[in-house]
Amino acid sequence: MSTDLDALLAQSLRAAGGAFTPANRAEARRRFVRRLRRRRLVHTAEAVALAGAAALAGLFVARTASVQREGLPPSAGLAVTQTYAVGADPRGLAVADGRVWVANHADGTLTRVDVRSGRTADLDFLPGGEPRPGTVVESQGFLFVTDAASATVVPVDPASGSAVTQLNVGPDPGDVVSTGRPLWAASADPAGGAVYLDAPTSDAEGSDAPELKAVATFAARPELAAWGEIVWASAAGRVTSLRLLDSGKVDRAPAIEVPGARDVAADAGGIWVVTDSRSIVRIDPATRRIVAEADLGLAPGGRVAVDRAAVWVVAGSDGAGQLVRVDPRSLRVVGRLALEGGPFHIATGAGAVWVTDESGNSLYRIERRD
Amino acid sequence: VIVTRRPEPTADRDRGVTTLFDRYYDPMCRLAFVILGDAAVAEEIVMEALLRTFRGWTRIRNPEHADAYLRRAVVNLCRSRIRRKAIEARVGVLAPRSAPLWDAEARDTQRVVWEAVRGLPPRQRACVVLRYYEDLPEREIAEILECSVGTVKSQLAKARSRLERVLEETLSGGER
Repeated sequence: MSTDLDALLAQSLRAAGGAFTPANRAEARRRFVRRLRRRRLVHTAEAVALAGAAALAGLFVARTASVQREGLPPSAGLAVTQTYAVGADPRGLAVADGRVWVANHADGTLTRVDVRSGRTADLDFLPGGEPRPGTVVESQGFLFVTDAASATVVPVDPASGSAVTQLNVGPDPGDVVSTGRPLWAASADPAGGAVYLDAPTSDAEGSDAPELKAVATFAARPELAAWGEIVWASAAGRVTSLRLLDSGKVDRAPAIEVPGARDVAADAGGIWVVTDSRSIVRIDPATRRIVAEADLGLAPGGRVAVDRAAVWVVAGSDGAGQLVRVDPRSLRVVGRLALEGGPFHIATGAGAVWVTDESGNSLYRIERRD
Repeated sequence: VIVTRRPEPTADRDRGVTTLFDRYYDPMCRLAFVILGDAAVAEEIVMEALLRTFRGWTRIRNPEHADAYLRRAVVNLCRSRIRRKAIEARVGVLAPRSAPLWDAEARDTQRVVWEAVRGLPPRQRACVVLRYYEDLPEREIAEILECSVGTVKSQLAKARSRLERVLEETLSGGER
Protein backbone atom coordinates (compact mmCIF):
# COMPACT_ATOMS: atom_id res chain seq x y z
CA MET A 1 0.00 0.00 0.00
CA SER A 2 3.06 2.21 0.43
CA THR A 3 3.15 3.63 -3.11
CA ASP A 4 -0.61 3.91 -3.21
CA LEU A 5 -0.60 5.69 0.10
CA ASP A 6 2.09 8.12 -1.07
CA ALA A 7 0.03 9.00 -4.12
CA LEU A 8 -3.16 9.21 -2.12
CA LEU A 9 -1.55 11.54 0.40
CA ALA A 10 -0.20 13.82 -2.29
CA GLN A 11 -3.55 13.97 -4.11
CA SER A 12 -5.59 14.49 -0.97
CA LEU A 13 -3.44 17.18 0.57
CA ARG A 14 -3.12 19.11 -2.66
CA ALA A 15 -6.87 18.93 -3.10
CA ALA A 16 -7.30 20.28 0.42
CA GLY A 17 -4.89 23.13 -0.21
CA GLY A 18 -6.37 23.86 -3.62
CA ALA A 19 -9.85 24.13 -2.14
CA PHE A 20 -8.80 26.98 0.10
CA THR A 21 -8.60 30.64 -0.82
CA PRO A 22 -7.89 33.26 1.85
CA ALA A 23 -11.14 35.03 2.70
CA ASN A 24 -10.29 38.65 2.08
CA ARG A 25 -6.78 39.16 0.92
CA ALA A 26 -7.02 42.93 0.54
CA GLU A 27 -8.30 43.35 4.07
CA ALA A 28 -5.66 40.95 5.34
CA ARG A 29 -2.98 43.04 3.68
CA ARG A 30 -4.31 46.23 5.26
CA ARG A 31 -4.40 44.51 8.64
CA PHE A 32 -0.87 43.26 8.11
CA VAL A 33 0.46 46.71 7.32
CA ARG A 34 -1.29 48.14 10.40
CA ARG A 35 0.24 45.47 12.63
CA LEU A 36 3.61 45.98 11.00
CA ARG A 37 3.45 49.67 11.91
CA ARG A 38 2.38 48.80 15.43
CA ARG A 39 5.31 46.45 15.90
CA ARG A 40 7.64 49.09 14.58
CA LEU A 41 6.39 51.29 17.40
CA VAL A 42 7.38 48.56 19.82
CA HIS A 43 10.88 48.66 18.42
CA THR A 44 11.03 52.38 19.02
CA ALA A 45 9.61 52.07 22.51
CA GLU A 46 12.00 49.28 23.34
CA ALA A 47 14.98 51.23 22.10
CA VAL A 48 13.97 54.15 24.27
CA ALA A 49 13.39 51.85 27.21
CA LEU A 50 16.73 50.18 26.74
CA ALA A 51 18.57 53.48 26.58
CA GLY A 52 16.89 54.58 29.79
CA ALA A 53 17.03 51.29 31.65
CA ALA A 54 18.76 52.79 34.66
CA ALA A 55 16.33 55.66 34.74
CA LEU A 56 13.42 53.26 34.54
CA ALA A 57 14.77 51.30 37.45
CA GLY A 58 14.96 54.51 39.42
CA LEU A 59 11.42 55.39 38.41
CA PHE A 60 10.23 51.99 39.51
CA VAL A 61 11.66 52.50 42.98
CA ALA A 62 10.29 56.01 43.12
CA ARG A 63 6.85 54.86 42.01
CA THR A 64 6.82 52.12 44.61
CA ALA A 65 7.71 54.62 47.28
CA SER A 66 5.03 56.94 45.96
CA VAL A 67 2.39 54.24 46.17
CA GLN A 68 3.47 53.54 49.72
CA ARG A 69 3.10 57.17 50.67
CA GLU A 70 -0.35 57.29 49.10
CA GLY A 71 -1.56 54.38 51.22
CA LEU A 72 -4.50 55.16 53.47
CA PRO A 73 -3.73 55.46 57.19
CA PRO A 74 -5.58 53.03 59.48
CA SER A 75 -9.19 54.01 59.90
CA ALA A 76 -12.51 52.24 60.20
CA GLY A 77 -14.38 54.94 58.28
CA LEU A 78 -14.63 53.85 54.68
CA ALA A 79 -17.02 55.05 52.03
CA VAL A 80 -17.64 54.68 48.33
CA THR A 81 -16.98 58.23 47.20
CA GLN A 82 -17.51 57.65 43.50
CA THR A 83 -18.96 54.98 41.25
CA TYR A 84 -17.89 54.92 37.62
CA ALA A 85 -19.68 53.11 34.81
CA VAL A 86 -17.20 50.88 33.01
CA GLY A 87 -17.48 48.21 30.31
CA ALA A 88 -19.20 44.85 30.51
CA ASP A 89 -18.01 42.34 33.09
CA PRO A 90 -15.09 44.35 34.50
CA ARG A 91 -12.26 42.22 35.88
CA GLY A 92 -8.74 43.30 36.78
CA LEU A 93 -7.65 46.88 37.25
CA ALA A 94 -4.47 48.89 37.57
CA VAL A 95 -3.73 52.33 38.99
CA ALA A 96 -0.93 54.28 37.38
CA ASP A 97 -0.07 57.91 36.75
CA GLY A 98 -3.39 59.31 37.91
CA ARG A 99 -5.43 56.86 35.89
CA VAL A 100 -7.29 53.69 36.66
CA TRP A 101 -7.44 51.07 33.92
CA VAL A 102 -10.14 48.40 33.96
CA ALA A 103 -10.17 45.25 31.82
CA ASN A 104 -13.71 44.60 30.60
CA HIS A 105 -13.97 40.90 29.86
CA ALA A 106 -17.28 40.69 27.99
CA ASP A 107 -16.91 43.59 25.58
CA GLY A 108 -13.17 43.29 25.10
CA THR A 109 -12.32 46.87 26.01
CA LEU A 110 -10.21 48.76 28.50
CA THR A 111 -11.83 51.55 30.47
CA ARG A 112 -9.56 54.47 31.33
CA VAL A 113 -10.62 56.58 34.29
CA ASP A 114 -8.91 59.89 34.89
CA VAL A 115 -8.78 60.13 38.68
CA ARG A 116 -8.69 63.92 38.84
CA SER A 117 -11.39 64.78 36.31
CA GLY A 118 -13.46 61.62 36.69
CA ARG A 119 -13.67 61.30 32.91
CA THR A 120 -13.86 57.80 31.52
CA ALA A 121 -13.19 56.34 28.10
CA ASP A 122 -13.70 52.81 26.79
CA LEU A 123 -10.85 51.83 24.51
CA ASP A 124 -10.74 49.16 21.85
CA PHE A 125 -7.18 48.18 22.70
CA LEU A 126 -6.95 45.35 20.17
CA PRO A 127 -8.68 46.60 17.02
CA GLY A 128 -9.81 43.85 14.72
CA GLY A 129 -9.63 41.25 17.47
CA GLU A 130 -12.21 39.96 19.87
CA PRO A 131 -10.21 39.90 23.09
CA ARG A 132 -11.44 38.71 26.46
CA PRO A 133 -9.30 40.74 28.84
CA GLY A 134 -8.99 39.65 32.45
CA THR A 135 -5.99 41.21 34.13
CA VAL A 136 -4.32 44.56 33.64
CA VAL A 137 -1.11 45.72 35.28
CA GLU A 138 1.20 48.63 34.66
CA SER A 139 4.93 48.15 34.34
CA GLN A 140 7.79 49.96 32.63
CA GLY A 141 5.48 52.44 30.96
CA PHE A 142 3.25 49.78 29.42
CA LEU A 143 -0.01 48.24 30.45
CA PHE A 144 -0.04 44.45 30.24
CA VAL A 145 -3.46 42.99 29.60
CA THR A 146 -4.29 39.29 29.51
CA ASP A 147 -6.51 38.05 26.70
CA ALA A 148 -8.22 34.71 27.27
CA ALA A 149 -9.42 34.55 23.66
CA SER A 150 -5.93 34.41 22.20
CA ALA A 151 -4.15 33.10 25.32
CA THR A 152 -1.78 36.03 25.23
CA VAL A 153 -0.50 38.88 27.34
CA VAL A 154 -0.96 42.09 25.40
CA PRO A 155 1.34 45.06 26.04
CA VAL A 156 -0.64 48.25 25.54
CA ASP A 157 0.74 51.73 25.05
CA PRO A 158 -1.14 53.79 27.66
CA ALA A 159 -0.76 56.93 25.56
CA SER A 160 -2.59 55.50 22.56
CA GLY A 161 -4.58 52.83 24.39
CA SER A 162 -3.61 50.36 21.67
CA ALA A 163 -1.84 47.03 21.74
CA VAL A 164 1.74 46.97 20.57
CA THR A 165 2.18 43.22 20.28
CA GLN A 166 0.88 39.96 21.74
CA LEU A 167 2.85 37.50 23.85
CA ASN A 168 1.80 33.87 23.94
CA VAL A 169 1.10 32.17 27.24
CA GLY A 170 -0.97 29.10 28.12
CA PRO A 171 -4.76 29.05 28.05
CA ASP A 172 -6.83 30.99 30.53
CA PRO A 173 -4.17 33.53 31.54
CA GLY A 174 -4.47 34.93 35.05
CA ASP A 175 -2.23 37.16 37.10
CA VAL A 176 0.59 39.21 35.66
CA VAL A 177 3.19 40.75 37.95
CA SER A 178 6.44 42.58 37.45
CA THR A 179 9.68 42.43 39.39
CA GLY A 180 11.24 45.49 37.85
CA ARG A 181 12.14 44.49 34.34
CA PRO A 182 11.08 40.81 34.19
CA LEU A 183 7.41 40.16 33.69
CA TRP A 184 5.73 37.06 35.11
CA ALA A 185 2.38 35.67 34.00
CA ALA A 186 0.24 32.78 35.22
CA SER A 187 -1.98 30.60 33.08
CA ALA A 188 -3.52 27.18 32.92
CA ASP A 189 -1.38 24.28 31.75
CA PRO A 190 -1.71 20.50 31.26
CA ALA A 191 -0.24 20.06 34.73
CA GLY A 192 -2.81 22.48 36.09
CA GLY A 193 -1.07 25.81 35.92
CA ALA A 194 2.15 27.44 34.85
CA VAL A 195 4.12 30.60 35.34
CA TYR A 196 5.63 32.28 32.32
CA LEU A 197 8.54 34.68 32.31
CA ASP A 198 9.61 37.08 29.62
CA ALA A 199 13.15 36.69 28.39
CA PRO A 200 15.12 37.66 25.32
CA THR A 201 15.00 34.70 23.00
CA SER A 202 16.88 33.45 20.02
CA ASP A 203 14.52 30.78 18.85
CA ALA A 204 14.75 28.44 15.95
CA GLU A 205 12.66 30.56 13.65
CA GLY A 206 15.15 33.37 13.77
CA SER A 207 12.56 35.50 15.46
CA ASP A 208 13.69 37.84 18.17
CA ALA A 209 10.16 38.76 19.15
CA PRO A 210 9.50 39.14 22.85
CA GLU A 211 8.30 35.85 24.18
CA LEU A 212 7.02 34.51 27.47
CA LYS A 213 8.35 31.11 28.39
CA ALA A 214 6.97 28.62 30.91
CA VAL A 215 9.37 28.43 33.83
CA ALA A 216 7.36 26.62 36.51
CA THR A 217 4.33 24.39 36.68
CA PHE A 218 1.75 24.06 39.43
CA ALA A 219 -1.16 21.81 40.32
CA ALA A 220 -3.53 24.66 39.47
CA ARG A 221 -3.26 28.07 37.89
CA PRO A 222 -1.45 30.08 40.56
CA GLU A 223 -2.30 33.49 41.92
CA LEU A 224 0.75 35.72 41.91
CA ALA A 225 2.14 38.60 43.92
CA ALA A 226 5.50 40.32 43.64
CA TRP A 227 7.68 42.18 46.06
CA GLY A 228 11.20 43.21 45.20
CA GLU A 229 12.75 40.49 43.09
CA ILE A 230 10.56 37.72 44.46
CA VAL A 231 7.33 36.41 42.97
CA TRP A 232 5.00 34.54 45.31
CA ALA A 233 2.67 31.96 43.84
CA SER A 234 -0.35 30.44 45.56
CA ALA A 235 -1.88 27.30 44.11
CA ALA A 236 -3.64 24.23 45.46
CA GLY A 237 -2.96 24.95 49.11
CA ARG A 238 0.69 25.77 48.67
CA VAL A 239 2.60 28.99 48.49
CA THR A 240 6.04 29.18 46.99
CA SER A 241 8.44 31.81 45.73
CA LEU A 242 10.20 32.22 42.42
CA ARG A 243 13.23 34.34 41.69
CA LEU A 244 15.10 35.01 38.47
CA LEU A 245 18.80 34.38 39.05
CA ASP A 246 21.60 36.24 37.32
CA SER A 247 22.29 33.05 35.40
CA GLY A 248 18.88 33.37 33.77
CA LYS A 249 17.54 30.36 35.64
CA VAL A 250 14.55 30.52 37.93
CA ASP A 251 15.02 29.50 41.53
CA ARG A 252 11.93 27.90 43.03
CA ALA A 253 11.86 27.68 46.81
CA PRO A 254 10.24 24.76 48.67
CA ALA A 255 6.49 25.21 49.04
CA ILE A 256 4.87 26.41 52.23
CA GLU A 257 1.72 24.49 53.14
CA VAL A 258 -1.23 26.87 53.56
CA PRO A 259 -4.43 24.81 53.58
CA GLY A 260 -7.13 26.37 51.41
CA ALA A 261 -4.78 29.08 50.14
CA ARG A 262 -6.30 31.36 47.55
CA ASP A 263 -5.11 34.80 46.64
CA VAL A 264 -1.77 36.22 47.74
CA ALA A 265 -0.38 39.71 48.22
CA ALA A 266 3.12 40.80 49.22
CA ASP A 267 4.88 43.80 50.64
CA ALA A 268 7.67 44.63 53.04
CA GLY A 269 5.52 43.56 55.98
CA GLY A 270 5.08 40.02 54.81
CA ILE A 271 3.23 37.71 52.49
CA TRP A 272 -0.54 37.76 52.90
CA VAL A 273 -2.67 34.80 51.92
CA VAL A 274 -6.44 34.52 52.16
CA THR A 275 -7.85 31.04 52.62
CA ASP A 276 -11.07 29.16 52.00
CA SER A 277 -11.53 28.88 55.75
CA ARG A 278 -12.36 32.61 56.09
CA SER A 279 -8.93 33.46 57.37
CA ILE A 280 -5.98 35.54 56.36
CA VAL A 281 -2.47 34.41 57.20
CA ARG A 282 0.82 36.25 57.22
CA ILE A 283 3.99 34.49 56.14
CA ASP A 284 7.37 35.80 57.16
CA PRO A 285 9.35 35.79 53.90
CA ALA A 286 12.63 35.40 55.78
CA THR A 287 11.72 32.31 57.81
CA ARG A 288 9.05 31.16 55.33
CA ARG A 289 6.73 30.32 58.20
CA ILE A 290 3.17 31.34 58.95
CA VAL A 291 3.54 33.86 61.76
CA ALA A 292 -0.04 35.02 62.20
CA GLU A 293 -3.58 34.10 61.22
CA ALA A 294 -6.85 35.95 61.69
CA ASP A 295 -10.52 35.31 61.04
CA LEU A 296 -12.04 37.51 58.33
CA GLY A 297 -15.56 36.63 59.40
CA LEU A 298 -16.50 36.01 55.80
CA ALA A 299 -15.17 33.78 53.06
CA PRO A 300 -12.83 35.68 50.75
CA GLY A 301 -14.91 36.07 47.63
CA GLY A 302 -12.38 38.09 45.69
CA ARG A 303 -8.85 39.32 45.65
CA VAL A 304 -6.47 40.72 48.23
CA ALA A 305 -4.26 43.80 48.00
CA VAL A 306 -1.86 45.45 50.36
CA ASP A 307 -0.57 48.97 50.79
CA ARG A 308 1.31 50.71 53.54
CA ALA A 309 -1.77 51.25 55.65
CA ALA A 310 -3.73 48.06 55.39
CA VAL A 311 -4.38 44.70 53.87
CA TRP A 312 -7.57 44.84 51.81
CA VAL A 313 -9.70 41.80 51.08
CA VAL A 314 -12.81 41.55 48.93
CA ALA A 315 -14.95 39.07 50.83
CA GLY A 316 -18.39 37.54 50.58
CA SER A 317 -20.38 36.61 47.52
CA ASP A 318 -22.44 38.44 44.90
CA GLY A 319 -25.02 40.64 46.56
CA ALA A 320 -23.32 40.32 49.95
CA GLY A 321 -19.83 41.49 49.18
CA GLN A 322 -17.62 43.47 51.50
CA LEU A 323 -14.36 45.27 51.43
CA VAL A 324 -12.54 44.17 54.58
CA ARG A 325 -9.73 46.24 55.97
CA VAL A 326 -7.15 44.38 58.04
CA ASP A 327 -4.51 46.03 60.18
CA PRO A 328 -1.21 44.57 58.99
CA ARG A 329 0.45 44.71 62.39
CA SER A 330 -2.24 43.27 64.65
CA LEU A 331 -3.98 41.35 61.86
CA ARG A 332 -7.30 42.55 63.24
CA VAL A 333 -10.23 43.48 61.04
CA VAL A 334 -10.53 47.25 61.51
CA GLY A 335 -13.11 48.13 58.90
CA ARG A 336 -15.82 46.71 56.70
CA LEU A 337 -17.73 48.25 53.86
CA ALA A 338 -20.68 46.60 52.13
CA LEU A 339 -20.43 46.75 48.36
CA GLU A 340 -23.28 46.23 45.92
CA GLY A 341 -23.23 43.81 43.02
CA GLY A 342 -20.37 41.40 42.52
CA PRO A 343 -17.15 42.97 43.79
CA PHE A 344 -14.07 40.91 43.06
CA HIS A 345 -10.89 42.63 41.86
CA ILE A 346 -9.10 45.29 43.87
CA ALA A 347 -6.21 47.71 43.50
CA THR A 348 -4.83 50.53 45.58
CA GLY A 349 -3.30 53.82 44.52
CA ALA A 350 -4.00 57.49 43.86
CA GLY A 351 -5.16 57.87 47.46
CA ALA A 352 -7.98 55.35 47.24
CA VAL A 353 -8.95 51.72 47.10
CA TRP A 354 -10.55 50.64 43.83
CA VAL A 355 -12.85 47.66 43.39
CA THR A 356 -14.57 46.43 40.24
CA ASP A 357 -18.15 45.19 40.40
CA GLU A 358 -18.46 42.41 37.83
CA SER A 359 -22.23 42.18 37.86
CA GLY A 360 -22.93 45.91 38.02
CA ASN A 361 -20.34 46.93 35.41
CA SER A 362 -19.01 49.51 37.84
CA LEU A 363 -15.81 50.69 39.43
CA TYR A 364 -15.94 51.80 43.06
CA ARG A 365 -13.64 54.45 44.43
CA ILE A 366 -13.35 53.95 48.17
CA GLU A 367 -11.80 56.49 50.51
CA ARG A 368 -11.39 57.16 54.19
CA ARG A 369 -14.25 59.08 55.86
CA ASP A 370 -13.28 60.28 59.30
CA VAL B 1 9.07 43.35 28.22
CA ILE B 2 12.29 44.78 26.95
CA VAL B 3 14.39 42.89 24.47
CA THR B 4 17.70 44.06 23.17
CA ARG B 5 17.42 45.25 19.60
CA ARG B 6 19.79 46.18 16.89
CA PRO B 7 19.07 49.35 14.97
CA GLU B 8 18.10 48.53 11.43
CA PRO B 9 16.82 50.34 8.35
CA THR B 10 13.08 50.00 8.71
CA ALA B 11 12.14 51.10 5.19
CA ASP B 12 14.03 48.28 3.48
CA ARG B 13 12.76 45.79 5.96
CA ASP B 14 9.14 46.92 5.60
CA ARG B 15 9.40 46.78 1.82
CA GLY B 16 10.91 43.31 1.95
CA VAL B 17 8.27 41.96 4.28
CA THR B 18 5.33 43.44 2.37
CA THR B 19 6.79 41.94 -0.80
CA LEU B 20 6.85 38.63 1.01
CA PHE B 21 3.23 39.14 1.90
CA ASP B 22 2.21 39.74 -1.70
CA ARG B 23 4.16 36.76 -2.95
CA TYR B 24 3.62 34.17 -0.25
CA TYR B 25 0.48 35.01 1.69
CA ASP B 26 -1.79 32.74 -0.35
CA PRO B 27 0.48 29.69 -0.58
CA MET B 28 1.47 29.92 3.07
CA CYS B 29 -2.21 30.19 4.06
CA ARG B 30 -2.85 27.01 2.09
CA LEU B 31 0.05 25.27 3.80
CA ALA B 32 -1.25 26.25 7.25
CA PHE B 33 -4.77 25.29 6.24
CA VAL B 34 -3.68 21.84 5.13
CA ILE B 35 -1.89 21.32 8.44
CA LEU B 36 -4.65 22.71 10.66
CA GLY B 37 -7.89 22.48 8.71
CA ASP B 38 -9.02 25.82 10.09
CA ALA B 39 -9.14 28.71 7.62
CA ALA B 40 -9.29 31.56 10.11
CA VAL B 41 -6.49 30.21 12.23
CA ALA B 42 -4.40 29.49 9.14
CA GLU B 43 -4.64 33.10 8.01
CA GLU B 44 -3.86 34.40 11.47
CA ILE B 45 -0.82 32.16 11.72
CA VAL B 46 0.54 33.34 8.39
CA MET B 47 0.02 36.92 9.51
CA GLU B 48 2.00 36.20 12.65
CA ALA B 49 4.71 34.40 10.70
CA LEU B 50 5.10 37.42 8.43
CA LEU B 51 5.31 39.73 11.42
CA ARG B 52 7.95 37.49 12.98
CA THR B 53 9.83 37.69 9.74
CA PHE B 54 9.76 41.45 10.17
CA ARG B 55 11.32 41.04 13.62
CA GLY B 56 13.98 38.66 12.42
CA TRP B 57 14.69 40.39 9.14
CA THR B 58 18.24 41.32 10.02
CA ARG B 59 19.07 37.66 10.59
CA ILE B 60 18.05 36.66 7.12
CA ARG B 61 21.35 36.71 5.32
CA ASN B 62 19.90 36.14 1.91
CA PRO B 63 16.46 37.70 1.33
CA GLU B 64 15.99 35.36 -1.62
CA HIS B 65 15.71 32.58 0.89
CA ALA B 66 13.16 34.41 2.99
CA ASP B 67 10.48 32.01 1.81
CA ALA B 68 12.26 29.17 3.59
CA TYR B 69 12.39 31.25 6.73
CA LEU B 70 8.71 32.07 6.38
CA ARG B 71 7.76 28.45 5.77
CA ARG B 72 9.63 27.42 8.89
CA ALA B 73 7.80 30.06 10.92
CA VAL B 74 4.43 28.93 9.56
CA VAL B 75 5.09 25.26 10.28
CA ASN B 76 6.39 25.95 13.76
CA LEU B 77 3.44 28.19 14.58
CA CYS B 78 1.10 25.47 13.32
CA ARG B 79 2.79 22.93 15.55
CA SER B 80 2.50 25.30 18.52
CA ARG B 81 -1.14 25.77 17.69
CA ILE B 82 -1.74 22.03 17.61
CA ARG B 83 -0.02 21.62 20.94
CA ARG B 84 -2.02 24.46 22.42
CA LYS B 85 -5.27 22.97 21.19
CA ALA B 86 -4.31 19.73 22.87
CA ILE B 87 -3.66 21.63 26.09
CA GLU B 88 -6.95 23.48 25.79
CA ALA B 89 -8.77 20.21 25.33
CA ARG B 90 -7.14 18.83 28.47
CA VAL B 91 -8.04 21.78 30.62
CA GLY B 92 -11.51 22.08 29.13
CA VAL B 93 -10.96 25.40 27.40
CA LEU B 94 -12.24 25.01 23.91
CA ALA B 95 -11.12 27.51 21.34
CA PRO B 96 -13.78 28.76 18.95
CA ARG B 97 -13.62 26.69 15.80
CA SER B 98 -14.30 27.75 12.28
CA ALA B 99 -16.56 25.65 10.14
CA PRO B 100 -14.48 23.55 7.76
CA LEU B 101 -14.49 24.83 4.22
CA TRP B 102 -14.59 21.39 2.84
CA ASP B 103 -17.95 20.44 1.39
CA ALA B 104 -19.60 18.36 4.07
CA GLU B 105 -21.30 16.21 1.49
CA ALA B 106 -18.10 15.33 -0.31
CA ARG B 107 -17.29 12.35 1.81
CA ASP B 108 -14.78 11.05 -0.59
CA THR B 109 -11.48 9.37 -0.07
CA GLN B 110 -9.43 12.54 -0.25
CA ARG B 111 -11.36 14.12 2.57
CA VAL B 112 -10.96 11.00 4.67
CA VAL B 113 -7.24 11.00 4.04
CA TRP B 114 -6.90 14.66 4.94
CA GLU B 115 -8.83 14.16 8.15
CA ALA B 116 -6.61 11.21 9.02
CA VAL B 117 -3.54 13.38 8.47
CA ARG B 118 -4.98 16.00 10.79
CA GLY B 119 -5.32 13.31 13.42
CA LEU B 120 -1.56 12.76 13.49
CA PRO B 121 0.65 14.16 16.28
CA PRO B 122 2.10 17.60 15.48
CA ARG B 123 5.53 16.56 14.25
CA GLN B 124 4.27 13.64 12.17
CA ARG B 125 1.61 15.89 10.69
CA ALA B 126 4.15 18.54 9.78
CA CYS B 127 6.42 15.92 8.18
CA VAL B 128 3.59 14.48 6.09
CA VAL B 129 2.34 17.87 4.88
CA LEU B 130 5.82 19.10 4.03
CA ARG B 131 6.60 15.86 2.22
CA TYR B 132 3.37 15.30 0.31
CA TYR B 133 1.85 18.77 0.02
CA GLU B 134 4.95 20.91 -0.29
CA ASP B 135 6.85 18.07 -1.98
CA LEU B 136 10.01 18.84 -0.04
CA PRO B 137 12.91 16.42 0.23
CA GLU B 138 13.64 14.95 3.64
CA ARG B 139 16.74 17.11 4.06
CA GLU B 140 14.72 20.33 3.78
CA ILE B 141 12.05 18.99 6.08
CA ALA B 142 14.75 18.24 8.63
CA GLU B 143 16.01 21.82 8.35
CA ILE B 144 12.56 23.26 8.84
CA LEU B 145 11.77 21.06 11.80
CA GLU B 146 15.32 21.31 13.14
CA CYS B 147 15.87 17.63 13.49
CA SER B 148 17.95 15.01 11.74
CA VAL B 149 17.06 13.42 8.43
CA GLY B 150 16.81 10.15 10.31
CA THR B 151 14.16 11.64 12.57
CA VAL B 152 12.19 12.83 9.55
CA LYS B 153 12.37 9.33 8.07
CA SER B 154 11.21 7.71 11.27
CA GLN B 155 8.42 10.26 11.73
CA LEU B 156 7.24 9.68 8.16
CA ALA B 157 7.39 5.91 8.65
CA LYS B 158 5.35 6.14 11.84
CA ALA B 159 2.88 8.46 10.17
CA ARG B 160 2.47 6.15 7.17
CA SER B 161 1.97 3.17 9.42
CA ARG B 162 -0.63 4.98 11.44
CA LEU B 163 -2.39 6.34 8.36
CA GLU B 164 -2.50 2.91 6.74
CA ARG B 165 -4.14 1.51 9.83
CA VAL B 166 -6.64 4.34 10.16
CA LEU B 167 -7.49 4.44 6.47
CA GLU B 168 -7.96 0.71 6.24
CA GLU B 169 -10.38 0.83 9.12
CA THR B 170 -12.18 3.90 7.82
CA LEU B 171 -12.35 3.22 4.12
CA SER B 172 -13.09 -0.48 4.38
CA GLY B 173 -15.77 0.22 6.98
CA GLY B 174 -17.75 2.36 4.59
CA GLU B 175 -19.17 4.40 7.42
CA ARG B 176 -17.12 7.02 9.19
